[in-house]
Amino acid sequence: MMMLYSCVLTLHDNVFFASREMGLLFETEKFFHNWGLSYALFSGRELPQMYRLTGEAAQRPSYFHPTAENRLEVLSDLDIYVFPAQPLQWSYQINTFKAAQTTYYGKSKQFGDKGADRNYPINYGRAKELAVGSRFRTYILAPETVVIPRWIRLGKWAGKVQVEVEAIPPECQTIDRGDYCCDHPLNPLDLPPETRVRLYDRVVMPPASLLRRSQLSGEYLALRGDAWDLWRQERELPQKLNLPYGSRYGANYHAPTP
Amino acid sequence: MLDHLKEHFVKEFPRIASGHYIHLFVLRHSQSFPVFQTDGVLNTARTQAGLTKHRDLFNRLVMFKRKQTTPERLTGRELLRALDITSQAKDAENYCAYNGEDSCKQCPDCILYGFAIGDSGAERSKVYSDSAFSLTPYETSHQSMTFNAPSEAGAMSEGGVMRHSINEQDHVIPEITFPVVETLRDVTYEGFIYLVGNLLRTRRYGAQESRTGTMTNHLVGIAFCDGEVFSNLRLTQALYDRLENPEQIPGIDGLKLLAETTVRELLAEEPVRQTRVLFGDDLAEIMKNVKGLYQDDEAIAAILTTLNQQTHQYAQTHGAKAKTTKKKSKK
Repeated sequence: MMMLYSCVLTLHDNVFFASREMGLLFETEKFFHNWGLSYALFSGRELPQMYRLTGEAAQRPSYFHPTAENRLEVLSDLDIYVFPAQPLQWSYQINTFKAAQTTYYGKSKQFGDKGADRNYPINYGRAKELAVGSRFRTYILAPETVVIPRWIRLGKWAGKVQVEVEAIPPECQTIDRGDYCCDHPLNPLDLPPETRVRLYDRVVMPPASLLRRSQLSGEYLALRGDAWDLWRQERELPQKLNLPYGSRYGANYHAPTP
Repeated sequence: MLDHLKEHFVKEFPRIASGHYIHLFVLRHSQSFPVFQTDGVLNTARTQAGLTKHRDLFNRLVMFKRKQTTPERLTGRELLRALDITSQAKDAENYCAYNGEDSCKQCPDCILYGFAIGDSGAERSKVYSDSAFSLTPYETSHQSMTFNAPSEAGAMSEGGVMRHSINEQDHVIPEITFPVVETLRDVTYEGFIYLVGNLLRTRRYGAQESRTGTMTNHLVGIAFCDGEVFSNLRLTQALYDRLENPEQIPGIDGLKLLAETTVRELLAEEPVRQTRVLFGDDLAEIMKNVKGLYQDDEAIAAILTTLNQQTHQYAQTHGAKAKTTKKKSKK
């Protein structure tokens, strides 16, 4: 049986990924992309996680690459889909990082220095990281039998994140068709092909920008009414929640065959 | 005792990550005045004091994850060089340089702790760390100190001119505890010995490590599991709740006992399979064996030579020296 899970992520370490790079400053967006989250949640179990990457494989993303063992279609085949995550409460911390040498002290190559091919020092930078204690919410569609880990690691520093997951009772959910609003961030490339996007705010981040506060039309999963009101009490959940029905990894995207 | 553990390790380093996790529960305990900073001030984070009993917020000192693994790696690399398993000489066959494109991609350090070198690919780390938080608040765990660089006469004035080399810096004070879970994934028996050795043998952390920064790592427990367990922050908060009087922190022996009960309690909450858990006397016996290995030149050389063969074998079949990957990518 397919279940919709509500999932709260709490940061127990700083999480950093470079959504924007501005010279020395690397900034983390306050949304978690659903593709990255999917790898964090299901690598090592559903998705094979290779220790070693070489040559071409180390440089290209494996999301939809036809020969990649860990492409996202593996999850689609298991009927698993993870939505992007929305911040509930967040703060930032800026930290400087550098790559040291064995001599214990590495002098940064300054602008114009010999060996500096960029106009900023090449072995250090400042990371604007999501701070410990920040909390996010996401939704997962998966079969009842799926195992969702209690701890995952996210971002470039592999920060430890606590996962609290609860299945939303099926009586709260109805499938509707027509125009609807969705506040939760969505990945436009994963939307069902017949769904139309009318209005949206864009969250600019790689590998594919997200939509939020969007108006769409198509088939959708609606959570509202008395059963929902009763269940969502004391759970920080919205009064009304609509999610596109039939989202799948890359449903709206076809990778060019190499 | 150590021999009985062997069944819990992987026989060779696998190509794909599997569920062989070993969690080491450690209290990192400051012995002098370490400095953990990235931007001129000590690193801190605002967190809840405990989990249930103490819900007030306070600032804690933070020891970032890379400030824990870096000195431990360097300790291990030093030993590898001393045993001639790797070399710093550029023309040597076993030349390996830390943090750069000249890393050899096949020695124990490269394979266990991982690397990422652009086109030459990447190796995922088999050692997972997590930022550590001080048990006690920032306010009572640090001290500001003035330092200067006197002239050869030992005075700050030289020929009637005052030197400008004087400044002030915040330091972590002695006997501050950072509870930690260090996780090893998919390591062989030999890899385990090497990594535990690095943990036990690293004595200095943070900035200016040749002057200050001495810390001792007290191993409280080891758990062999099939998944990740609680975070450092959760361990720290749970331990804080267990303190009888947070104003008066017990000595390290008392803390170790408290930490053991805390770890046992937290482990019981985790939905993972525990194949073997070691505490108290069992742990002491294992640690005695491990220390014995490090005190015996030949024994440790034999173990690290085997480890080196294992990592080379891995590099030959799956890693940098593998031939098959090239064929695959051409398809």
